[in-house]
Amino acid sequence: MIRMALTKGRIEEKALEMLTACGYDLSSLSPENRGRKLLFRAENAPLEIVLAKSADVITYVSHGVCDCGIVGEDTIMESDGRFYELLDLNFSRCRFALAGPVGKYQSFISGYGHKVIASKYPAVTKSYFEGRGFDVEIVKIEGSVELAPILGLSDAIVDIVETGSTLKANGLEVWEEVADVSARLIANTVSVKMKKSDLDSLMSKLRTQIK
Amino acid sequence: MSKNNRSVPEGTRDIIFSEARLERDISERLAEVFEAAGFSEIRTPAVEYYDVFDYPGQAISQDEMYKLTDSSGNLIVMRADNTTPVARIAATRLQSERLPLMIRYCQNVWRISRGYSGRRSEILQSGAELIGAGGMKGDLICLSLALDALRSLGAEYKLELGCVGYYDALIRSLPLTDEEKSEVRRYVDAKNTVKLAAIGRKLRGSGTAEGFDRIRRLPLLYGGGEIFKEAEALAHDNEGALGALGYLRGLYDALCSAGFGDRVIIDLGMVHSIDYYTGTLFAGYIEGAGEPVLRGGRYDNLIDNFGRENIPAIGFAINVSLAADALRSSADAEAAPDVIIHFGGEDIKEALKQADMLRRDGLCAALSCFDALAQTIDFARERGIKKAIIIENGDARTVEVGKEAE
Repeated sequence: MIRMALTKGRIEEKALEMLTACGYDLSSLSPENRGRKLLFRAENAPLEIVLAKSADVITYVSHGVCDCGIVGEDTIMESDGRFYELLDLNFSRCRFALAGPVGKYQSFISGYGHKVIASKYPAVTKSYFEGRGFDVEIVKIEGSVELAPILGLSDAIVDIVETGSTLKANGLEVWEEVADVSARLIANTVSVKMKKSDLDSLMSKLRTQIK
Repeated sequence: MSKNNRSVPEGTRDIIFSEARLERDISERLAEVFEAAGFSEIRTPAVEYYDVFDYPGQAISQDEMYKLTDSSGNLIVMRADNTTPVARIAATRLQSERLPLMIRYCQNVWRISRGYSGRRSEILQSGAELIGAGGMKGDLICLSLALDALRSLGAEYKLELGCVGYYDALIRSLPLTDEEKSEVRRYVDAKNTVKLAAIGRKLRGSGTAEGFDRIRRLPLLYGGGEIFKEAEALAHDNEGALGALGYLRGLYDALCSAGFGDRVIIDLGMVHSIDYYTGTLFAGYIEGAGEPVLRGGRYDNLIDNFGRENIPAIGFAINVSLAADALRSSADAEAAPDVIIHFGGEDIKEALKQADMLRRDGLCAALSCFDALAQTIDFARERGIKKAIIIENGDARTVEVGKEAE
């Protein structure tokens, strides 16, 4: 039996499509069957699916209560649990970007003034700027990060960008690409060893469906 | 500020009744395994000077240690690891002992865990160190002891072998900066094939690309003896890597011929502590634990740091706290005493005599603290004590709790 944690929401939809295409019968998860349950069994294979919030997928997998999980690279970059990152499933693709007010990029990177970055992802932001040898102050924002530079709290933001239309509507533009992110298959370090054949077979099925 | 007088610090816990019994049972089983193999116990202080743990490639990083100061202002830390104090002792108080030293320990280590991660910061470790024995024989003695120790836990288990030399030889031949190398190592250890592929794309066209493609295969080189063939092919022109691999294969074959074939697995991508370990490294897994319950390896340079040079050593520790968490079943309630003895104050002599007799028969006999018989019976019923001995005016009678009313 393999227990897999799936990130609720957009990743879940695509992942379920992918798993179904791999031949797993996940009809118990269909909207008409699922009700308010969070734990499901495949009808035709020893696979159990748990629905969880993205950061919790990592917590469950690190602790080994789930053998593997599907979660976005953005969440992985922000966390520091111990697990194996095995496959890029190549969906839910978007990017982390440094963005700021249109036309202000030059003054941002050339000035020596104190710089403030707002982000939902302080760890990603910190490691990005550390890697560049740039000393910035990071302010954690929970909701629409685009507000921070508009309101004058920060000089720039680090955030997930998909189409860029939210940035544009708020007078912001992408300044630098921080990282490419997409959905990943992660696994518990012990499960990979103790349940090698089960996980190997799951992985080889998933590989055939990666687009 | 609110007062923290009703809880314990993050990562620590009170270990109560059946939990304490289980940890003690595991510790005792492991102690038996180690003692039967000739390993003797040492205990070291719960606090050490920070300097003891501060050496190149140190096992535990500074930010994971609990730090205090002593009366002279020296920095001291809570024991963050057991092998380091053992190495200190091997170089100091035990320096004139005949080698090899065969040492075991069973004591806590303390490591600061990240907030709300559910990880423990106070961990009971039981381990063994074989000091002054190099080479394959020392490795085999230590690995077979590790297998015995894992088996004594009573759950499905595997012992996984890796080595420092194979990875080291492959990465050394690549012209990467130290920073790049440590990044690559982190990704190999996390089996992060995605990140390694990205680095591979960056290197494409450079002279490093072909060498790096080999590194990219490493995370997948785990499993049974079948992986040796691929690993050999991968390193066909790298003598250092082939040498390390040949040695590992020798260990694996020896353990297989000793009957451990279905218990031993290999992972050439296990490279987490290679600044600390110098040769063979290994990890042990049991079903139900989400992390390795056993970690160990050869550390031939560690004792140098304490002024005694060229002492090869190998050892391992079992995380007793983690093993107990994995082995605990929810049904594990602390057993109630077999008998409760109710007595009047003047009958203490008879009560102790009765208790002594029962205890000599191997039963657990508790004396009742209550004055009224009804209270004793009530307590016994609630605790699940089946039998009561009632002593009145020097006479003892036995009743079955629950039937005493009839």
